[in-house]
Amino acid sequence: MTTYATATGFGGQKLAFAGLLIIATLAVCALFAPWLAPADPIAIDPLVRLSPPSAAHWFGTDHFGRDTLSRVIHGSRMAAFIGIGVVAIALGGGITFGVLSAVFPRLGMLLMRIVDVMMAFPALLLALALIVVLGRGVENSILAIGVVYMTTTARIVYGVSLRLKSEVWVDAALAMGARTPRIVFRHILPNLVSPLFVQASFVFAFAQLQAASLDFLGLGVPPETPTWGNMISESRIYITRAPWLLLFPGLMIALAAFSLNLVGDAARDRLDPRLQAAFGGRSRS
Amino acid sequence: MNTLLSVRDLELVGHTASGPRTLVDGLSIAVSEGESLALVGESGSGKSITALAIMGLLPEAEVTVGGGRIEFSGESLLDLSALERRRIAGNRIAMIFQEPMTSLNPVMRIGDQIVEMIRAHERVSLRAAMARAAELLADVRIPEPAMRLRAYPHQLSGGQRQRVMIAIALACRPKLLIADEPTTALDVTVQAQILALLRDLQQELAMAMLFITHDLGVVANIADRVAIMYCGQLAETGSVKEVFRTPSHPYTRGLLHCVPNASAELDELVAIPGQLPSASESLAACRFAPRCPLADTICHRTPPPTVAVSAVHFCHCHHAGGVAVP
Repeated sequence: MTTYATATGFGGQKLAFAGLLIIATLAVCALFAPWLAPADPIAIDPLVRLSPPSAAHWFGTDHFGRDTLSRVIHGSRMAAFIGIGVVAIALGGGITFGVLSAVFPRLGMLLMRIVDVMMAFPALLLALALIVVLGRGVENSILAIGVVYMTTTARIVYGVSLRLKSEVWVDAALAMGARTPRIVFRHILPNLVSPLFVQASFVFAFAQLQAASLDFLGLGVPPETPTWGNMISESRIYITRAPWLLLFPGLMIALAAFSLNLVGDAARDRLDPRLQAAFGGRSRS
Repeated sequence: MNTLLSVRDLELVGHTASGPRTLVDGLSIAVSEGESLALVGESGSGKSITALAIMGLLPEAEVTVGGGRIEFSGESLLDLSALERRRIAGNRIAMIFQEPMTSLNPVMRIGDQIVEMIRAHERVSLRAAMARAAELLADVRIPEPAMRLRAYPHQLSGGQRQRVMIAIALACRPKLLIADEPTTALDVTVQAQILALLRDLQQELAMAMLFITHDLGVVANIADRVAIMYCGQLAETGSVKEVFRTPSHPYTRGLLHCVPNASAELDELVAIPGQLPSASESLAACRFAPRCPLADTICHRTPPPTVAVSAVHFCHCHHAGGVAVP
């Protein structure tokens, strides 16, 4: 069987399949939130304040009497939006800086030192610092978290590109008269796809955690927008009286990050670039 | 015959942590049109790095050209810009490598890789280039070429991949093919097939070939002339027939002596005593002197002269004249 058939299907890996299923469910929630949610996520009903899970409100209600299930479902929208935005920025910037650094060693020296400095900061601290400079808001959350993961992505892209650059087939292409743009677009970028797929899944997962942390600290998405992080942040003072208010959004963050990691792990096992190069594309399992 | 490639007094300097080190010292070789020259030497003798220097593919941070000239069709390659050298590479000089398993891009179909090569040097339509690619695969005796164009490298065997590499190298009908140990990584039976293919194609296309190897059996098989290197210096050059029949350099004689003979009964393999000088050792004027049975003080002090053994046979040794021909 060819690698390309096995690499695209996760067949036989139950955990990865479960992860994929959870992600698909969350994606459906994000896409069809207004139709799936049983109630308006911002409709206030003081009569049912802090009611525990019941037939009317499966996940209970918060201190304004808002339906937690509806808010959780709507929260997946923002989660998906932030995840996609962060992955786009992290990969876009990471690929650009990583490949440029590998192809032009002098520029690479400079860029990679900047990356070193940025990686010296804990992820959340760096994101916080950026938010302080940029101001809070959805776009700025995405930008800040995207820049944080741009550094690790650039480092990975740089490493893989350097290795690719020293592959015999790149020498062979040079010997056949290929010039730098052709080397980059035909021989380096296509070979980055599998490591970057893995990286994208991890960045997406970590973006969830970072976004929730920023929201929790009150520096992320404005509080009127239902996000999982905001929900936890708002209801943390009710943790003893209404634990479901923290349980369900917390569960969603954990599930999203966990399932993305499962898929990322499976993809890494399947698409490990070193194994591909060393054994002509045969995978480990 | 016209000289196609001429390398004169080439000096290549390696930059290591312990300082600069001469990797190739005053190498002069020439390849005439349509001729096949084998460049022979053990690992580290500087033969592959010479090929990379001709192609303009030296890893610049590690190895630089210290002196000498490389001329191709009368054009001095070392004076050309990087861009002009890329134009010659692949088009008029092509190269195939030792490792067929890694010399193709794993994520591109082989058809696309051949087409890319053709279209890098000629303005032809995609369709025409694809047709040419199929012809090339047929030329290198790959069965069902039209179907094979759609295969990925990992779907081919090592021998087939090397055939594809040869097809890519021949795509623009180069005047010179540099083959850097193209059969070393292959099975013995496949080796013989690839050698036969290279020999046939070389004659069909009247192409010159610089064949780099450490295998004297391969040399006898494929080359018209042979140049034997030891530790960055040329030891002996000449027609394969003469060099094999009347080796004049003690190193060449040692090498030929080392080839096991199937008909003779042997208890032990013969070896040249000693080993290649290590990176930290200082080098004698004649690099082979420390291992040479004929060496005396002059060998350690004065670089060896070029001695004409015959009109087509040259030896770089102080004792070549006095060497008894076995």
